[in-house]
Amino acid sequence: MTELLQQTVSGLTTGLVYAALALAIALVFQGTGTLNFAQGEFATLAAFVSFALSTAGLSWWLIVPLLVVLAFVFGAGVERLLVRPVEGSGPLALLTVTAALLLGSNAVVALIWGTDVRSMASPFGGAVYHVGPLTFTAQAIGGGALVLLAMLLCGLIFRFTPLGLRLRAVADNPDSARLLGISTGVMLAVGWGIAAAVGAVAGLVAAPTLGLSPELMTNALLLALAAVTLGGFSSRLGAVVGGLLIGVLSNLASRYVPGIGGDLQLVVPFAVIFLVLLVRPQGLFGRASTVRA
Amino acid sequence: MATSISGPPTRTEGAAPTPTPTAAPALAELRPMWRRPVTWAWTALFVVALVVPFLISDYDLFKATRVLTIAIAVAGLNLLIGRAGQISAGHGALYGLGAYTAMILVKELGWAWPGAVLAAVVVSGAAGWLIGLPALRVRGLNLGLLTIAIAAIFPLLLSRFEGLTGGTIGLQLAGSPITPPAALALTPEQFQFLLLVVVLAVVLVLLRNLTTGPMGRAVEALRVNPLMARSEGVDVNRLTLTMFAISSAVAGLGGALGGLVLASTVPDSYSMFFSLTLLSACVVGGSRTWAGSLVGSAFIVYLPDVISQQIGSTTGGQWSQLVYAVALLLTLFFLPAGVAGGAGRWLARLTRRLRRRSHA
Amino acid sequence: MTGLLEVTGLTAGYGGVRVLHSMDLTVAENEIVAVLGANGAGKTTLLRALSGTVKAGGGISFAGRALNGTSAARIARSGLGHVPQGRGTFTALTVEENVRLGVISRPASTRAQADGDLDRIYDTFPVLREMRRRPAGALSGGQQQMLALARALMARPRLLLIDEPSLGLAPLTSADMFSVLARLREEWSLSVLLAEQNARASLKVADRGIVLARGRVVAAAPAAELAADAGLRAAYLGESPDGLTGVSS
Repeated sequence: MTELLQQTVSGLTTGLVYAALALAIALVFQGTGTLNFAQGEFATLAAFVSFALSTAGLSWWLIVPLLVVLAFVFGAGVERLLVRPVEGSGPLALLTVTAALLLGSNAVVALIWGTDVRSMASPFGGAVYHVGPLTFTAQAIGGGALVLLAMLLCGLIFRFTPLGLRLRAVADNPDSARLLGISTGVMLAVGWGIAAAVGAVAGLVAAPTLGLSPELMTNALLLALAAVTLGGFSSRLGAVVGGLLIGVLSNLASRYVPGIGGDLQLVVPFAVIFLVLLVRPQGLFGRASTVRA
Repeated sequence: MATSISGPPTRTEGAAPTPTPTAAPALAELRPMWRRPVTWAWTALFVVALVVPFLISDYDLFKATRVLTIAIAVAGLNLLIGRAGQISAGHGALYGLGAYTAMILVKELGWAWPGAVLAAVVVSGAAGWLIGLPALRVRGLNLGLLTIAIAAIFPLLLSRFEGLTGGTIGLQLAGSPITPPAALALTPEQFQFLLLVVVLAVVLVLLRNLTTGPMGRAVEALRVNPLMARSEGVDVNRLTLTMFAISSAVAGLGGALGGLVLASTVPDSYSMFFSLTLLSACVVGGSRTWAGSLVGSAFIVYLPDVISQQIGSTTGGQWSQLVYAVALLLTLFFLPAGVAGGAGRWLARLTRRLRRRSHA
Repeated sequence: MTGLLEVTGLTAGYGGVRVLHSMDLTVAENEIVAVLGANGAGKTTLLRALSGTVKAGGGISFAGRALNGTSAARIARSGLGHVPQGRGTFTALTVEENVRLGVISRPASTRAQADGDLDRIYDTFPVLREMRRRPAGALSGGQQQMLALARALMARPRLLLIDEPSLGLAPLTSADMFSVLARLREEWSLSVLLAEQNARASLKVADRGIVLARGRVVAAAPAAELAADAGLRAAYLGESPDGLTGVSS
């Protein structure tokens, strides 16, 4: 029983990373209408940048906000420069651009930092806490809190600020938004920026546990895609809940289902994508009408 | 009646690599096959390809054979992306499935290679059909979603089912089973190259006929506007599934021949990055021209060699990957019809101008 | 006299297909002009060309400023509101969020009065106040049309383009809609360019009317004259000469 609880809790903490990446993917999807295959690679890039900054001696108190700002600018810039030119060319061209971004940003990271797996010290230290029968590392608690904070902030921006209202309006009906004086182009870039910033936090938190390498978020991308599919592409909350569910599910599966261990955990998200598309394509929280054809 | 005026016209360009047909090719279609320059160009290329094996080294031939096996897979991808307007980010996995199926049948069960290749085609086609099933429920990006998931887990599955696949070491044969009959005085490389030339030619002719016949019109409707296709009586779901299955089978064919020629298959060869590289070859070459499959595959096979020669081999793979990505972006921005498509249009314009001048 | 909106030689189309051919049009301050015409005559394209959502050629001058080549978002912020066909409500947002989005295009000098305007709008459309926390997608067709109007009003436009407000509404609801328009014009000192297929009802509130056919203006006259011209209506508006297909009131 304790074992099950411990597995669930650690599934939740890894699930938070998938949730943040899934949220980023959902944000881009709601604005631009495409899956950003490169979202994971953007997060990997962010993790390496934060590693470089911390090696250079910067304090984590400085690195985290700096990283968020850098990631925002990067994401918005990518939308503006590389995605905008094919915006009117249909979903196929958009998706292909994100595939190119995946290939490209993976190559750039590997060229700059090499392909070896590096260990990155946790910004939260190596302490271990015991609560009743459960064990928590400082990394799990601190990282979880950081990701949760990032997602909460993102949610608050969308729900309660004038900027968020505009972003939601553009996602809902871009033509009408334009008629009301909203610059949809700016909003799409902002959407990509916020997505990259949330993803950057996910990358930063994942790196100490998974080890820093160009493949840091390759598997996480698949898990996040499964999370978004499960939660529904049209729902931000759904993406987050989906991420947590996927985290717990794949953790429990690798512990209790014989044969599904290690990397093979990825069978779980794959099965989830397959089944959800087959049974309930709009996902748990999604509205059928907003699924883009 | 004229309600369409009050709304924007239906997009005819559902995808980037879908140029609106210019008048020239449309006119050219009216001429009989043997009078079209394209027919002559292909015939000349075919004849040259039959002579090449006797002119270049076996090592160069081996590379060229690899271009041809990849070109088969890219042609399958062309059918899916350029014609049916669906995307696959996982054709590398289907190529790998073909390779592994053929290798297992030859190595473990002692099949003759032609039977193994046929079986690989069937297995890959069936896998494609199965993958396509959930993508039907909601169209759009779901095939992209599923195929990238397949691309990601395929190498993991290969490593996991060691008993069948040899795990991370993969499967190796002492030599390629594709050997020339004794009656023909050919080296294995010459024979393999010629075989691949013939297979690719047959594949291209079959795919071309498939997309120009009555089915081609339905496929065109499917790409341009699925809703309209449905209203015109096209069974959209079944057609999508058929296209994906055929495309997968063709990719499997390329993989089976590629694996057997190489006499080796390892999981690392069929990673997600290989799948995206194939996608890059398809789009850079030009997904709506069959010549594009050759151009694209030559690009992805020769580029790493060229780069490794220039800067040494340690980071050659990464530089190539970066170049694929940049080439892919540049193609999407500036040459949506791809290299072959762009060149084709340029040639058409040139001949039109020349003809006009000769008339004047 | 120079109007609020002056259009000369306007052309517009989609891709290679030209829909509007050299169109002239004027809307004066505080005037309601009905744009009539059969399906496909070019009414919607005209409105889209004016609001910058369709590429247009020719001259468009609004409040003394040329609008050609200006982005749709900027045109909206210059005081030209567009209530599109099918209402264009943000279905996932609440009713009040929809209305508040109208504020974006408001001239900076009137920002302070936004809350007061919201109250006035709720007084005009009490049903929107009742439903303000509900998602806009839950509203009926008529309520969504009111919402679209309310949202456009929040921008304090000088000219409102309204596209087929009666489309898909029950006759009684659409009669309400037209009488509201007359009231809004007074209360908000609005000019309105009203594209409608329902000639009878729209000519009742309009000062003038223009009739479009195949992308050209084929008639322009005071509303009463147009309303009386049964032959014109039969020729261009697809009504039978006795007016049976018009909505009777």
